[in-house]
Amino acid sequence: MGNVKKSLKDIGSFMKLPGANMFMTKTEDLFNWANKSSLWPLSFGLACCAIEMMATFSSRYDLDRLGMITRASPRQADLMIVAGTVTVKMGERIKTLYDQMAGPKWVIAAGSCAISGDHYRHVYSVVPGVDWIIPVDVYVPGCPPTPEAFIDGILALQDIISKGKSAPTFNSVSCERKSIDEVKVKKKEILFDKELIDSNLIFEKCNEIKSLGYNYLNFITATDFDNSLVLTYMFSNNFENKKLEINVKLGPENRLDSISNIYPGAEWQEREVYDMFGVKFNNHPKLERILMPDDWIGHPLLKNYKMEQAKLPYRPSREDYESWKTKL
Amino acid sequence: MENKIIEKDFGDLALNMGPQHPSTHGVFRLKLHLEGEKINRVESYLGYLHRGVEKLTENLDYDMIPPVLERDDYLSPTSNSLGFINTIEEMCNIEVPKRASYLRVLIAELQRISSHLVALGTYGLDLGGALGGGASLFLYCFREREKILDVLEVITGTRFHTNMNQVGGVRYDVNDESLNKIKDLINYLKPKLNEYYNVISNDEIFMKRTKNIGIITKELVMSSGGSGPVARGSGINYDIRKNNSYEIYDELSFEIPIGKNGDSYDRTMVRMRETIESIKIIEQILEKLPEGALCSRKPLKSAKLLKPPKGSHYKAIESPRGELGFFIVSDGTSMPYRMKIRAPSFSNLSIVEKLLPETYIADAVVILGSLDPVFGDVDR
Repeated sequence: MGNVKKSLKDIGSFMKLPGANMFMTKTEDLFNWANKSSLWPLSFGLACCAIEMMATFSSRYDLDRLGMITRASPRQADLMIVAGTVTVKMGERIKTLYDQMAGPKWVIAAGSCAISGDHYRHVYSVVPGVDWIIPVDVYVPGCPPTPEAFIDGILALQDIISKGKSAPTFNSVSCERKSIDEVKVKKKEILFDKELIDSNLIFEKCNEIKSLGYNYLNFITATDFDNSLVLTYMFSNNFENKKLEINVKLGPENRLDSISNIYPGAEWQEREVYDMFGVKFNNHPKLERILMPDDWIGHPLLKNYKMEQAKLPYRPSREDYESWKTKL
Repeated sequence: MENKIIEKDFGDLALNMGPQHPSTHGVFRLKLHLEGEKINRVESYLGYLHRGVEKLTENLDYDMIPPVLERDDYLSPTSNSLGFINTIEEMCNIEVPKRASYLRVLIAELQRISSHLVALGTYGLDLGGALGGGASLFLYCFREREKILDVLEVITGTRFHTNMNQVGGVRYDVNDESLNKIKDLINYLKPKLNEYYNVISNDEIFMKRTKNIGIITKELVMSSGGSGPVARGSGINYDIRKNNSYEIYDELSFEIPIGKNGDSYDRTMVRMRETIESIKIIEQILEKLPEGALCSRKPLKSAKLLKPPKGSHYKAIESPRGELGFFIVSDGTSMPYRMKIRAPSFSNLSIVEKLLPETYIADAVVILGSLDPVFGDVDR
């Protein structure tokens, strides 16, 4: 009770009357005091910064003493800590979560990825800062910010709330990038010195490999060379510590048989190759995009897909972001 | 009066879990098709943390890549840069001084412990809920983890993205003070980890929640490409540190813990016993640590750009989550032409779709947590 009384003294005054005590303050100040002392953050994390956020909430740093208890539902939360890289696919969800929170609500952008995108800011799938999507009250720098920095950010937010000076910022910097319709990249000739297998033979080859004891599929990937894509399959025989690499040259229609019947683990690997390179697999149980959103246009790891080009055509345009702001 | 039992088929109920659900260990969305409490079918959606690392690395010099990769698997960053650097060193035939190699393993094993502690702590949250009994396990695990991070901060200056490894060696040295800190840490951790292992492995509630839940057969692991504690929990004796040794692991003696049934309990126990083995490894390193140079190359600012010879190379190491491999295609320039990261979590997570059908919804979280996916690693 002593601490509460002490902190109440900042916003009003106690008076001793005969038979009773009286406390006088402005209601606005009282509400602000209540708001700042019981910030309930939404518990969701995005990337590395979320681990530091968890560390801040746990034993040593113990945010409970600031009146913070994480809530799993946005309806019960009034603070959103965006800790980690915001991707385009997640950005829409963050916007939804923010809209579901009841006001008054605040946002802390923690970590350089949430502030500006950091070293990922030029990558096709990354939103360069969460303040493109939702208004941000406090920025906590660091990669990732230390728990001390987190606490500092929260204290700064409490300060803002108690003074009633909440003025969240949207990103006002225009970071339009030049739209490039066609990227001309010099692709290299095929760099593999190993034998290249014809794409029609892959199914039989895999059957043969499996009977030789290579029953473990490490990965499937592709490389974009001049004139054709080359698929690389890596198998291993874990009991004899042997690895087998198979390179398959694709024809112009980028199509070959799926091996997910032989190696079930190939299902997701093939989906990733389809997503990133546009290689189509016959007889695949579910050939859909896996990492990018369903309506994404283009295949990012092809050489003529420029890293920055990306926000076009899928990434929300500046106008989209502006229209979101006016809806708030 | 006639008793009527009203039976009505409510059909397929689809329940969304994620991508902001605290028990999905990150940004992962499961669409569970339910019949009552039973899961009929599962659809999984990922890519909410796809940061395009593979595309980004095509535009970076080799020496600039390790810090970016450390953000990938953010529970064990050193393993990530270690795998990449091992691949490059094999491609370019770069020798690593013995002391540097020891220090790399030292940091990697410290982070293996801290990574498994996070896995165990969050698993406690999954099982018991934030306000149930699980929170105490979480708080204990994070308390020990903070001690490890303190030591890492003393050695490298950062808490977990250490930037310890560079091509040709390591960046930071240890001195008597930091060695003493590591010794103190080991003396502190050893009884604690053993205690947690003894308490949890015999805890009735824990056993009831995890035993015979989410059994992964040997065949399923092998065919799905599972690795690490997921594979070892199912009884597959495969650890790249032993079977295909890298760095100085062949000079150290340690055991590979293996499970029997392949259920969630076994996977957790494998992780806990691995932390105890890691302590053994660190003790041996502290005994054997040789004197010598830290890096075989010149300091980075004056070193020549790395230009690996044309061709492709694949090398894998054992990260806390399993086989972490790097497939690099070089065209002879200072940037990779193509780099594929073989992420252990990606393959381990693909088992979920085959594992969850025919289980109960309360067990979905248990099974998912026992696979210990890290979404920076899954989505890259």
